[in-house]
Amino acid sequence: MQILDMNEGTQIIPLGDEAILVRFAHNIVEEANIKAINFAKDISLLKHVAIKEIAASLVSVLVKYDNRKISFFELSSIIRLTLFQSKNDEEGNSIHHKIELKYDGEDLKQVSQMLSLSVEEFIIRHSEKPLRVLSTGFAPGFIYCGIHAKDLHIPRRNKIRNLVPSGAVIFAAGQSAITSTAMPTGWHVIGHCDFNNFDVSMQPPTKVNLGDYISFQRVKI
Amino acid sequence: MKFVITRASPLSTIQDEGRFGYLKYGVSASGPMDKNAYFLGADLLNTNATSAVEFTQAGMDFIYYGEGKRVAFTGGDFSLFINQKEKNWRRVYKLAHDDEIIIKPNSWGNYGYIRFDGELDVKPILGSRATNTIVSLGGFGGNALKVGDEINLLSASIKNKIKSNLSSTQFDNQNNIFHIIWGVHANLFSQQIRDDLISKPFFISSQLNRMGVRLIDKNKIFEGEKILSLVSEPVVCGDIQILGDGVATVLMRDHQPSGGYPRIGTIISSDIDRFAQMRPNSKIFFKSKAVK
Repeated sequence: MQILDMNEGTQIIPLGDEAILVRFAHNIVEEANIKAINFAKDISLLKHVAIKEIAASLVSVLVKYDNRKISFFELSSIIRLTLFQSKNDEEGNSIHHKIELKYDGEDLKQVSQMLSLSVEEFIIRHSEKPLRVLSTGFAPGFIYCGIHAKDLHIPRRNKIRNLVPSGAVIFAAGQSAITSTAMPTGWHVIGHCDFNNFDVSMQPPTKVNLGDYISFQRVKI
Repeated sequence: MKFVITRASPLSTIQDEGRFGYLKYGVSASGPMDKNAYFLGADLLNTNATSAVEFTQAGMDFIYYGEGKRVAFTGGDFSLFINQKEKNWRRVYKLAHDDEIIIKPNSWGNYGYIRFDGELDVKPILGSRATNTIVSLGGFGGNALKVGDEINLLSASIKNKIKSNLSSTQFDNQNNIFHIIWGVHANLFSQQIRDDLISKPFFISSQLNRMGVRLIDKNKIFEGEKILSLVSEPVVCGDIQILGDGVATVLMRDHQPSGGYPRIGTIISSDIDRFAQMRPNSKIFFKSKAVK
């Protein structure tokens, strides 16, 4: 295995022969997420001819490249240099989105019970503070946001729900996510919103960017 | 100019080179399962049109309407009939009004391509006509093609073709060795499992589509492997992913952009086309390769 280890546990790993994964942590920590978002921005700014696509995930970044134009080792050294110059702090130009949420999900009761809260208490806790957008690339327009307070963390469901609609707000692993397409999920469905973050007639096709903030605003049912 | 589909194998779709640059918005590139065969069609036609019909193992029948139009047939091994007359596969023909085309499966392959000298008249979505049926995007209304679908054809505009940069030579379909780069989670598997992966055979299962190909692990190499709670990370086409129940799946062109299952290796890009064409029950071997 060819893993190049950097300072502070950052890894540069080949992902096939046309991509490199830059991994900042093995689990979801806010600091690594900010590093990933900043690095993705910085490497995009290079506009390198051999880099075909860059996508930030929760704590890692995918860099796809043209292997006829650059080798893994050449690109690794460009990545290493970019990492050294990358900032560790959050950048200031994020947008704050307010999203109206109907807390009517089929798992809302169970989630509250798992946390030993009443439904009412859970709703208050869930919507109490703005959440950062941690990742966007899981499915078209899909948004991961968090991280919720430690005492609100619950695991995924044992059973996968076959299909939740677009606009479902799902909850697990210290995060809330908003779907923009119908999809199967192992997360708990806590509510629904009218917000759709994917529109193919727009360029770019999504409104919410990495590092933005989301506040859920409760709508009475 | 148009053609009407009279028989379609399941999950046949419209594809072009792919939808690039939208991974960060959650959209996979899609594109042809056998890129080489797809490009060969354009090389044979000398066309700049990028869209093609990708049909699956059972082939496809259609009727062509309109003025004379050149068409190329490429992909795995299929039998071609134009107006009931058997023709050579992997060639260019000029179709006339009312021609009836029948494509039947032959000795090998899962995917074939029909390319015309002119674009298929479907609206590009995010810059591409490629279909991703999982998220209902692109192609013919985001859907797989079915009997009765009518697809209009545009005239070819410029004669300068786009250079494919890929070899248009036939690959060796008897070659069942696929090269892998050790994956982003390879170090979570034991040395024994890693040794087995590159020495013991696997078989292609009948569960294969544009999202992924499930492997049959007769030697039970991954039995009982349970690596859970990995943080979700980007995945790529060719990744060999081990599910919680020990099932190995190779992710293909319509894969989800990210996933949380461990990936032990990734099939190299130049072996993917050949892998996509391997039919169920084919015996395959993996061989490791270092990335340069």
